[in-house]
Amino acid sequence: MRSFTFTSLSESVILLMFHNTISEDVHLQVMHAKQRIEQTPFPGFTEAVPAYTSLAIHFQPQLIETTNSISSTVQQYIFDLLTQPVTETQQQTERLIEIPVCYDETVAPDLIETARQLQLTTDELISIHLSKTYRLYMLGFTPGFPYLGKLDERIITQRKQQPRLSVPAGSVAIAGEQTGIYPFATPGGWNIIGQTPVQLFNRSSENPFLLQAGDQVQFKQITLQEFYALSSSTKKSEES
Amino acid sequence: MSTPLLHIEQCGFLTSLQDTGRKGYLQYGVSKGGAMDQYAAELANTLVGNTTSQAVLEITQSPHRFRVLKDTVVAFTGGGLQPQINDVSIPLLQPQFVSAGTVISCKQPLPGFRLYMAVAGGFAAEQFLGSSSTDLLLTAGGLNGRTLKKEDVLEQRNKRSPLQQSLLNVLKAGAAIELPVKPVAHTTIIRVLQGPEWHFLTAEANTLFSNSSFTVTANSNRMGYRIKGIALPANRSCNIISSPVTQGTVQLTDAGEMILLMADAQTVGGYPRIAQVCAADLSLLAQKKPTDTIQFQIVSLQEAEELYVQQQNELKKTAGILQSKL
Repeated sequence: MRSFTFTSLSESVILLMFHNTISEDVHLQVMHAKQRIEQTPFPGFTEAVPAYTSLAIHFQPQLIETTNSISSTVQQYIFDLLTQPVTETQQQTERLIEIPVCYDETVAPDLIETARQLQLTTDELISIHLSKTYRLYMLGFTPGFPYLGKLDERIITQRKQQPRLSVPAGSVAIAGEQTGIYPFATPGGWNIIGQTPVQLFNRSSENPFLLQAGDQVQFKQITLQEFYALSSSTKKSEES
Repeated sequence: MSTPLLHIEQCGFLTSLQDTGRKGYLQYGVSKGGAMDQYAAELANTLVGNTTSQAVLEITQSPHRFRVLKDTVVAFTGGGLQPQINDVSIPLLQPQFVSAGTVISCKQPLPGFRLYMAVAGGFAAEQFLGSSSTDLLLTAGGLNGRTLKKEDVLEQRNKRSPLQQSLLNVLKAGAAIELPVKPVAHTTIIRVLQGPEWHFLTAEANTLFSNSSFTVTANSNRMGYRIKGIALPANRSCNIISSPVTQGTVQLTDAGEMILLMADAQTVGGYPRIAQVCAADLSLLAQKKPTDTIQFQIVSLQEAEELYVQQQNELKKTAGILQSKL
């Protein structure tokens, strides 16, 4: 059954839109379509960008050979590809990535206030945050910022009314049904409940991004001492 | 080996090395980047015999002065500034021989906002994720990932090709190579497609969108333009599940205002995408500056595709003519 619709975002981007709700099932369909197009790309294809409920397929219009409209030609190709039965068992390879997080209030400026608003103790908030493995729906907002979900209902919060002008790099934060990690010091409006010493972005490596859409992310609690030790070792490896 | 080519003696406020942008990293949240006026950048490269993806200088309207350190062929495209040598204007849209020691100054305003300068062989630049474009957010690419400043020295990337060598020789000997390149008309009309959330606008807003003028505000940069005008009423809350956006996407905010995403656009957004600027007219938009007014005209996807293909063919034709003249 066809579970998506097409629309053109521009002359060079076709959107595949799936059911308009945030769910693991819908996102699996998005990632499955991405994988199939990447495995069997059409001439002119440049990249497929996943989001919660849609996939943006970028291409170079001048490389599409057709006597018809360029977009409808690409649409037809994608439609044919995605409605073909899956021949071999195409296992989606989802990686499980562990991210150490320090929940000490010295690096978690909103921990106490967020727990208070949720009528939880800080320990309860932390253990609920640690209790699930999260799905990485997409990267965006800034390069490498992971949108992870969904949070346990007990720790759903509003964004901060006044976003911070600068959030420290590595801040682990929650807002709505999502949790995320700020890869860089940027403005940010989410509630910061922890910090990771791990660098999500390493400019000297060939693929500088630690995470990608479709990953499973598991947070692991570390102490403040471990946090500082790991922070200084990542700094050292960056300098060398 | 690269050699010093251009000494920046005076630099304005937002001048950087840019190319056709990054491919393959949107899924990591990295913007495509590249020249704001992509057509002008590709045309400048074409006019000096480069491939269209070489790094060019994007010069934003403000006084600049460059000293050329070795004989070269340059081409200026876009707008905003009139390049001059000893107070004599150099024509835009044509390859020019410039000898070592020449000072090019850009101070006279022209219509438009961004001037592009290409040199034969291209400018050397730091490659980051497959592109020379300066990413100001990641401080990567271009020259140390930053805008240029006084006393910077740019180098030539590649040796001149045989075609570029004969182009230099011919121009140096004083022969003129006139290429039939049409200047871009700086119209206020920006052609757009209806976006995926066009239906978020009320019927009244649909009319207002096409029949009103909007002003580019000072709150505009390489990431996006905020435009002001009559507020466009929406028939529902201006929030969508965060979804892909691209260069040229027109977003509607809760206040009924519009944000036009430009070269350094983010990759996803939660505002409704009510329209999409045609690729061909993104160049026109890149030449708008704060206080300029624009009007939208809705066209069909087929029309937009034709405009785009036409522009690409124009570049190919120009490259062919240059080749045939040498």
